[in-house]
Amino acid sequence: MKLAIDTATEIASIALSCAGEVQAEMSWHAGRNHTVELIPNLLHLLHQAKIELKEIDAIIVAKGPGSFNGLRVGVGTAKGLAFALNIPLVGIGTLEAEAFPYAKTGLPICPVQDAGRGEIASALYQLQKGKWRRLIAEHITTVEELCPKIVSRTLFCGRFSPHIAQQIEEHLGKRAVVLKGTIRRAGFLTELGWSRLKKGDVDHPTTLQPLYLRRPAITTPKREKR
Amino acid sequence: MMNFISESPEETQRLGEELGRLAQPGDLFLLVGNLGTGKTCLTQGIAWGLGIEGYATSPSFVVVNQYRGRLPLYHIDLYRLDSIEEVIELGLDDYLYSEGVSVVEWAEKALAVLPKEHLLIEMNFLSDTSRNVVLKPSGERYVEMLSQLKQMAER
Repeated sequence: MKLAIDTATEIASIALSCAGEVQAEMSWHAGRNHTVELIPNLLHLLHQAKIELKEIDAIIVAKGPGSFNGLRVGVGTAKGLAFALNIPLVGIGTLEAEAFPYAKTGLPICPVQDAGRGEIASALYQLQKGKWRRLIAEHITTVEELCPKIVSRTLFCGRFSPHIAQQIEEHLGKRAVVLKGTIRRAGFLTELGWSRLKKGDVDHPTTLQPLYLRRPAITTPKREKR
Repeated sequence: MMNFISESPEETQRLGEELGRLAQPGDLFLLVGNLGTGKTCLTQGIAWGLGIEGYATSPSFVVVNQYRGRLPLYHIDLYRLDSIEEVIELGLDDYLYSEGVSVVEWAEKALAVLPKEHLLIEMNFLSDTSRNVVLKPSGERYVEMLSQLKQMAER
């Protein structure tokens, strides 16, 4: 049994799956309260599914981008469980998990996450000849900068403000299929994780890092020593 | 840029209160100045201007205090932090990029990692009771805020 955890944004989601098939799933609005709500809900989900913690044989976690503190809670919990249970751990990009449910449309899929202050986090994925590919890596941008890169009919998904949706539609017209207010569900995370686990492509609890797109290069701070 | 001379803590609070009234979601005030120049006093005013009742206390120890007013106020104090790495590790982005208003005391410790658009407020001693307050806007939003502040002052 695999456990998937996604606390990257305000909506948290957890799921249990067996051989890529979802057995139980729970999504809820956690706001900024992931640290308080994650473990009790995890125990509740296990109880509902009549599964013991020791039956979990792999952990899949959404590694970002997303809220700094939300990611810390999710990745920290995933690492702790993987380490304690001595089981494999797989980190999956949040935007990839956001885009994956729409893979079968065959369209390029552009997940968008509101990053605040007029900025968005985005990437581009597409299922090409049966292969799920990342065409543009996760990055911080603005709608104005992103839209010129969209050359064909593209599906936009994610949980973003009506203002962002309107901006995308204004820039791209019919080229954009905008799904408003989609949420990431950990069930899809387990599917992505399962495909990596089958290949033996796993992360290590000591080295897996959250993906913080805003993290600046810390070299020489512009500050004089006092 | 705008220069303001405050002759008392009450005047500093009143300036803060005006700023609090003008504040919009996502606004960021960066406070720079030595101990005792009135940073917490100014923040108190901003809190009142946002309709927050009671007193804002210094978050030097806890680093972040959160208040609920017309908009959420995040009162952040970097005094206790020694390195820019420590500031980054705090995860302040969750506040700075939210829909609330953020006030950062001792902002000079982390200017390189704070959002580029902000209102920088420098506070300096003139005498025991008077202070020179310099408001420096970065970005259109804060230029607009200062022109509104000037209009309010002229009335």
